[in-house]
Amino acid sequence: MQATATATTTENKAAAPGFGYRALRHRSFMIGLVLTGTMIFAALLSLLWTPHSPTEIVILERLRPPSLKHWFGTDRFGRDILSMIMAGAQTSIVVGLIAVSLGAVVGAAIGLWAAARRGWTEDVIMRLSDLNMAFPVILIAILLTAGWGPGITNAILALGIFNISLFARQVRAAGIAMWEREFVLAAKAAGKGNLAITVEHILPNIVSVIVVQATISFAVAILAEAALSYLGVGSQPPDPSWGRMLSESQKHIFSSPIIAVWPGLAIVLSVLGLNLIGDGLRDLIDPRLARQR
Amino acid sequence: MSVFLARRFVTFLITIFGASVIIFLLLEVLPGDPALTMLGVDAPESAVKAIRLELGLDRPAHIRYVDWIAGLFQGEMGLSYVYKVPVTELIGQRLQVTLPLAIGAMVVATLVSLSLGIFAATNHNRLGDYGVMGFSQLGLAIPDFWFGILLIILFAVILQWLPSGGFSGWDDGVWRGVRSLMLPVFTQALSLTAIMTRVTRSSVLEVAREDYVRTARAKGLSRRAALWRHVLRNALIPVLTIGGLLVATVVTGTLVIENVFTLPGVGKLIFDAISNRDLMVVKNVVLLFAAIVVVVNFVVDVLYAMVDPRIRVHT
Repeated sequence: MQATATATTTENKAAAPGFGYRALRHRSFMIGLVLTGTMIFAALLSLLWTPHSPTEIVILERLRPPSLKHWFGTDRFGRDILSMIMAGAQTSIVVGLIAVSLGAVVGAAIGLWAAARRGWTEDVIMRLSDLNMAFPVILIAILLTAGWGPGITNAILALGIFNISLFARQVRAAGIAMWEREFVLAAKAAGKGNLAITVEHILPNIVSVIVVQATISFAVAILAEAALSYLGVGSQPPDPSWGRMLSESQKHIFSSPIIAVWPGLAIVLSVLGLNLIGDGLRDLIDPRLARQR
Repeated sequence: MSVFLARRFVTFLITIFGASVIIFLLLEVLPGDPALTMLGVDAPESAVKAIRLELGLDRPAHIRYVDWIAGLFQGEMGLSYVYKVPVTELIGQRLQVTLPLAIGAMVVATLVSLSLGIFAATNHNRLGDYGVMGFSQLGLAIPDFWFGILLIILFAVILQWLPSGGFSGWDDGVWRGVRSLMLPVFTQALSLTAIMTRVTRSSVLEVAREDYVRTARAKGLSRRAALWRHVLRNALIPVLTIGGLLVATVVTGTLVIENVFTLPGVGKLIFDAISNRDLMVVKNVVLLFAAIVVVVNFVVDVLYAMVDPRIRVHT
């Protein structure tokens, strides 16, 4: 058993040195990294500095076109759009991080449990997951908002709940496949319990599935948070949010259409970056997929 | 097959039942007194009492739940607190906008994505393929509501070809209705097209590598003939599955798109109901949408099992 387990670990280690090199040469992965890095940098920088205050209202400067003073122009309250976009990145990242972490941690734990136990435990978990799938993010957010009023917590909860069943399904499927592998059978034969096998053998071998899913779910979370805030059931004023900026910009679409362009671009570039990282990771982890695509 | 169908049908019923319980709990039990949820915590006691009596909210929760479900079996969803008309009537009126929007988006997305996907696969690793994949990647990253805003800027503000929003009803003429729905349909179709194009392309590529396709080519069939006779027939199965699952995405997507274009559909109805705290409407519309998602998943599962017998064994 020891020999088989070591063989698997050696296999992983043998692939490891090439990963960084291959990542650097993977063009779309690197583009994704730069785009996502820019978003994170903008969010972190906005904690310390923005060109103007993102919440300061200057009515005399309202709906100004892009200029040297206001690179992206100003909104209907005279707030600097570039500063609002930088601060809005914080909201997107915080919502995405919490919602995806919730989904990844709880969902992966449930998925691993289902894969280890099988039988009725798995059946119950899968039926609960079916039930969860009946409620797309927007429906969960609507229910929470109708019951408790609008707020960013609803958006996080709605996304988190949806992610739990998504991760649980993915991890369960990957886990079941791993439980069939010889080194797991060997560990079983050696008398190891379900928990020890899950922690020592199953989880390390499916962590890549979780990482790839987390990247893609992060992108989906940014899109969903923007949509919920656009609809008024997500982030509320004065918290900056790209979705709400778009909703407000639509009121001035005939007089200042340009202000509707910037927040949308910020969303597209962030989501594109994360999607490219997700696709790239999948290729880098399993190069056979890259050749097929 | 009948065992699979029976098992899947039981799961389907349990899921619908579970969904109704969750909706009821989240709207009428967990937040506290539903009368206060509707009127606000500052409402005068007399008004709260009146609405409790009017809507029967003074009865125990389990009785209200059973009444709600019994009503649904008789085709009744209760009265809208704000509009004072039956919720079924409201939903029926609004579906006249939501259904054409959802169906239109599905049709446009299917036609465009099949063409683009097959084109990309037949031009694998060439410029056309890269172009289509680039479009698809971008389509997945663009929020549909922003795409709608961009279409409004281009076609309503700059070119002034189409209305920026609103819908005056089919009685004003079919062409006027169609014009009002054009931008929303294309907006809704974008992300669907992006997903279905990717699936079509990879499915065609996968089937084209199969031995039987190679054999057909070796027997002298042209590339085009092999594509039409052998590849597409098999490659379209996963595309149909994804297409089926996307129906649920389209239906919930209308919730957003109708708000971008201020269309008086079910999506607009539910957000107005949230603002007006019209719980009766919210409760029934959410159940309707959840039921659509569950029914679509059930139908897709059954169809898929009919096409691929391995599914029946493994499920």
